[in-house]
Amino acid sequence: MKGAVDKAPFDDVAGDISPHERKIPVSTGFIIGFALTAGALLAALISFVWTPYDVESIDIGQKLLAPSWAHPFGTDHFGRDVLSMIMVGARNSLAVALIAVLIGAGIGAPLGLLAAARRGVVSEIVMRSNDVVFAFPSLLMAIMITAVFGPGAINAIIAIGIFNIPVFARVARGAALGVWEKEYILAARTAGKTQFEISFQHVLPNLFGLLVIQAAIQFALAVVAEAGLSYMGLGAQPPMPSWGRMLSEAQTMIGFAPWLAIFPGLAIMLVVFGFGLLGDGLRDYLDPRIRQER
Amino acid sequence: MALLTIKELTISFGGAPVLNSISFAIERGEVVALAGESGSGKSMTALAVMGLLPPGAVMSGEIVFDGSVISDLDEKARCVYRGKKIGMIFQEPMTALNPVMTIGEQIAEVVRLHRKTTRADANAAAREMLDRVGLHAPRFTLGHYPHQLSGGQRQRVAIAIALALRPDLIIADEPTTALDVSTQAEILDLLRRLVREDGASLVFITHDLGVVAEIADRVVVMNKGEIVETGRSRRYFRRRRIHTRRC
Amino acid sequence: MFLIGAIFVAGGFESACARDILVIGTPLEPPNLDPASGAAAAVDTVVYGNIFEGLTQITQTGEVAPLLAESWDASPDRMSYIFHLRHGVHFHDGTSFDAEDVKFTIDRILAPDSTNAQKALYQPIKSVEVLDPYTVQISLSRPASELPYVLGWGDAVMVAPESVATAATQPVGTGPYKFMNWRRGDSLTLSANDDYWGAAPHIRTVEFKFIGDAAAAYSALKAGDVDAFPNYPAPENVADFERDPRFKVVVGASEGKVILAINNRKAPLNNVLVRRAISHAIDREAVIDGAMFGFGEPIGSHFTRSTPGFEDLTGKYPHDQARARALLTQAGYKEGLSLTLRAPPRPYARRAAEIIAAELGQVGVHVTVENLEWAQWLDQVFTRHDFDLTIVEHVEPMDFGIYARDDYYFGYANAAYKKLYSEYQVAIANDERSALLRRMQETLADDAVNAFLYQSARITILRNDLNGLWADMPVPATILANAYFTTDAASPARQGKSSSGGAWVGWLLLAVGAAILAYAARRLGAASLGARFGAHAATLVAASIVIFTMVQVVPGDPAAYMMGLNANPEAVAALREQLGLNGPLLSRYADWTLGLIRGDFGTSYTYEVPVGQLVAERLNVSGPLALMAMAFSIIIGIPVGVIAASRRGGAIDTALNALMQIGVALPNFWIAMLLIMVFSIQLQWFSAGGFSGWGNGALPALRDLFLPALALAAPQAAILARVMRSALLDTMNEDYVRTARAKGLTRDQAMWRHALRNAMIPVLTIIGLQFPFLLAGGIIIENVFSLPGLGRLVFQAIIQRDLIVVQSVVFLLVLAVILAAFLIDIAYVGVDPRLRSARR
Repeated sequence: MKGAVDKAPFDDVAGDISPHERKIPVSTGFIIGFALTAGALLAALISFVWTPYDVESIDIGQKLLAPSWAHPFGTDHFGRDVLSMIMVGARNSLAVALIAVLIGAGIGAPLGLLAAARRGVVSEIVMRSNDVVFAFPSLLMAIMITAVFGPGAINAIIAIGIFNIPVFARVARGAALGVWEKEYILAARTAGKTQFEISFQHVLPNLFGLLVIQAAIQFALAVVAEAGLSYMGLGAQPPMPSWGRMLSEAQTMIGFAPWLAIFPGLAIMLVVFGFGLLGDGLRDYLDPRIRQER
Repeated sequence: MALLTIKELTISFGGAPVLNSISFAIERGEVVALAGESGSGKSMTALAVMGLLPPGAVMSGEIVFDGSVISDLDEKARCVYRGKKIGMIFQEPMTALNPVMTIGEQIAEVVRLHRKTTRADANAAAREMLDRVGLHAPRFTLGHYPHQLSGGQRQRVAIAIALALRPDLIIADEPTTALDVSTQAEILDLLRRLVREDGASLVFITHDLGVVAEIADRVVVMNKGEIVETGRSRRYFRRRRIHTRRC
Repeated sequence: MFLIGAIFVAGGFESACARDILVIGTPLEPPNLDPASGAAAAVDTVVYGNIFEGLTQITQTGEVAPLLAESWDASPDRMSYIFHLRHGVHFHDGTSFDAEDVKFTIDRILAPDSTNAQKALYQPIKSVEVLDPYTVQISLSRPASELPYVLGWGDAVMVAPESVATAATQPVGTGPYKFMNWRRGDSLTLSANDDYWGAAPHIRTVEFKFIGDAAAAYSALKAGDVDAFPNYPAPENVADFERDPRFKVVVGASEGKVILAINNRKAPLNNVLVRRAISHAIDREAVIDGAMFGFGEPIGSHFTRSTPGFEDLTGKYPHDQARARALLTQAGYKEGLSLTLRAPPRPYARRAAEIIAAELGQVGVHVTVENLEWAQWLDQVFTRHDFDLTIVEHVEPMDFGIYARDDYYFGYANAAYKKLYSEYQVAIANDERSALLRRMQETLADDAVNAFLYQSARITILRNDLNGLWADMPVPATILANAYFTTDAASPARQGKSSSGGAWVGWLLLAVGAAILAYAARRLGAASLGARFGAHAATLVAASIVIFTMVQVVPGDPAAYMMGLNANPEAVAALREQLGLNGPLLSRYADWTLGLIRGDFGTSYTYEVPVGQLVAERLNVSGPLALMAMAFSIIIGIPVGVIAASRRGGAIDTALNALMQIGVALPNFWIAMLLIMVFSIQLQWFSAGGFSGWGNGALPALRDLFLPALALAAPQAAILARVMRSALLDTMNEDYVRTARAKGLTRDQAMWRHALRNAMIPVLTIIGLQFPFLLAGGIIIENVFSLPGLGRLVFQAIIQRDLIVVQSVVFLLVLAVILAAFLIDIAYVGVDPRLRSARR
């Protein structure tokens, strides 16, 4: 340490100061993350009622215009406005990622709770099947799934969702095991509540913060995964714009229309970045409490 | 001249005071117990002497060791004192040792850090220290890992580390609290014996008055960041039997 | 470190050599090389006129000319032909070419179990008789004046009974080039045939590089990885190449007709009024401009401009939205209608589909576009006729016979047209034939069978000093015999040599594996090791069942894919049988798994080589790529994490933290694109794609992998850095770090000596998870850089329905994941003594 005075945050306090006394400031990262995600969400919502141009109308005469006041992000090879496409594409990216994460959490978390509540065979089965799913290279399997069921947003959701299940199951089980050791659980058990009731009334509320943090992280990963599938042509189908497909279409035009590659990539990056910061911010905010309860 | 003099030491975190202008001195060869409830500021005092206050701590006042003001020194200069002139033993033997390093390496490290010696010499010194703390070969080798030892044995290793360079001052922060009763007595005996052999001063932090009576020449009682009592220990113990209580 | 060492060892630059190497880019890799069996246009593109030759040939202008037959005589009734063969022609294996070979070849085409895709074309042949070693007579069952023409197709090139068995993988023909080597998924090499009967070819060695992705094709040309790219797939880059003095652009005509095919069987599309409305609604110029950037000539029927008797019928259905609406109203669809357009995976089709969907939308026809892979397209559209609209290019010349086939996918059935067609087939006089052709195309246009869009242009981009390649291409082929360079400077295009240097890698891996196991057994104890092994093995078995089941339900017939567009159902069925696709499920699973245990992965349907060999070839790319990416990830990630942790809270930490957050957020394929933009196109430091193989030494190969590995590693490095940082900060709070500081170690010393090793435990977990991810997750990166790696193999295999490859590779990847998990278990033991068994 450089002398006794150190302006660093409180994180590595090692003395006998309890975490209760620490004030948890809302970090700038959290604010930036919130702003970015809110911005993406807003763009997606606005696109339902208004976009600068119609994304489905093709006007070959207006093709490949560089960014200008009329088209801030330029136009693509069909003369469509890139800004409008990115706005509508946000819908697709966010919706696919959101639903995929909800599927993952909705199935995975209860499975994890179950595995924590019932030790032994049930737990083994749940965790072993998780291992099997984990053992598959996820992008490859997502590609196979979309190959089986055909490309499209819905199948992309399923493909991404499946690989989120074991993630949530693991997180939920790990934390739930800790909660089950608590005295109030013992009290609840003595009071004659079933494992099911305890899992959902007592354990689940305790895991909520942790699951929200995990959801933010998984959401960011899901956005990248969706973009990857779309890039391979397996995500949302035209004329619905999607960021990944915009990138793959831009690839041959990098040399003379770089804006086609830059803006959709930036959009993906900023959303993922935003959710990452949001997740970190949430963790900083919620983690002391969670850590204590463990 | 006192070995260690603390003058008007004040420490606060984010404006909240933890230590409020405390002053006391320790003579050479003296064993002083620093007693008080948890949260009274004993450990913080010890860390201030070591220069290992957690980040965010704001300190004022002066710490004089062996005639030099050490509280103003920079990090590099403080490192010369730590381990070599002031050794410290912590409360929790189970976590105080690095689990992935052999105990021999951990003792030899402090030797090699402050003295220019060969690895072999450092290992020999480590071997000697293990013997001094009662961990004799061949049952206890330098190649043991901490997880292969019991809590009491680990605390002996921690003592060996703290005493390896025969420092003038040893600070022991509740070194027996985490141990069971019989082991407590053994460790206490060991510590007392080694300090006496080396002629070192000992600051013994505890909340256990029984221990105070057993080991200390003098006691400093702290409460809520302030010194509330000082005095010769036996006399003090008789007079204010109930001032501090076990937590 | 070993990478750097390898670079030095391999140092040394390629020496300048005479221009006797030509590298040609081509978009489609042939599934096999036997043009007379699994005939795909991709096979002809490589072998036709180069390795194999026919009795006749089709010249650049689309005429029939003698080749292996010096001349022929037709009987006046066109019921019999006598071909006089060229003397002194030898196959590449030294056997001579004679009449027996002709008989053998034609009999093979017509055999009941023949899988020749164009069998129907040769059906009129009744028998082949050998009159003498250099004379054959072909007797027909009906007059066929087109016989010399169809014998010039790639489907009828001459093969020899001695060598036909290996034609798929080791083709032996009579042509000016001999087959040398085929690196599947990457390239195929031919070398000049010194004993060629005709004029010797100018260029000694020709390498075909398979670059499916339009973007990769662009980069490969720009980076000098290929000298020429016939059938260049991205017309948007033509203007760019025209501006670049290093290249010339040749735009020639092809026989390709791009049509919006309409399912004539299905209501409402069986109504000619609706079909005409569709034709009126489409602005061909907009399609050509938008999808092809202006390259292409509008057509009004299924006839190209070079076809005899061509008539320009584009005026029949001018772009007229009012007319289109009126016709729809007249047909009873005043309110409009909804249709589905199933587009195959070619850029022209995908783009045209979007434009046409928008145009039809404007006249009240709501079109839903579904982009399919080839296998799905073949299955749904071509085989099962389950579609409303589709867009496809028919590349065969003069293929208007398909309109006389009731079973053809668009289902046109018109007795009048069939009558015209059969009259044409037997007609002899040129005037009469042309007149019939005119009436045929008028009939097609009148019925608006399909919406005829444009005749595609064949865009060839080539180096300025390369000459003699054909500009026009009446048949799918790349004729190399006349190609030559005008300068002698060293070719910048690198040439890949065959490489079989994989063996030592295998032995090395084996040795490393054995060492690791021995270490683990010593440290862990055999029982504990066995238990871990057992758990992993159970996961593996479960995974194999999942994989097998999944692969079984993948729709699409591998046989149909392999046979190509015009294959007849008989041939497809024969191939299915041959591939063993008809056995019961359980026995196929048993066969597969038993094979796996023996190390036999089966034989690839498409490439007809052992899957093990394919995988080994690809692992030579994916393995080093993954290792290199992992090395980058570790070399960047760990120090960044450590630095950030040691500067906790400071400006450097904040900056690095932001960098890590951004790094995690970057999709690796976007990084790849940006890297190409900067380092390949702008600076030209690295090639933008392709892999030159290990045969030329490690340096060029590692150079090829540099950018892909970097793109792949960037997000992983960011993740690793974050884990490293937080693990380090966590351990810095541990009591033993405080003990270390009390010894007199500075914060940094305590971190390096005490915290780091403890913090490695979570970091190891992440590294272990990353390796298999990098191995398989390179799939997109491999596509961006067109590297012949495992990911692309499995992706292509999925698309081509090469199921045995899919299941074997996925299984291997799962094995890699499990193996990595196992290795990590062992690595923990190395780091954490608490996990070791008591030694005394």
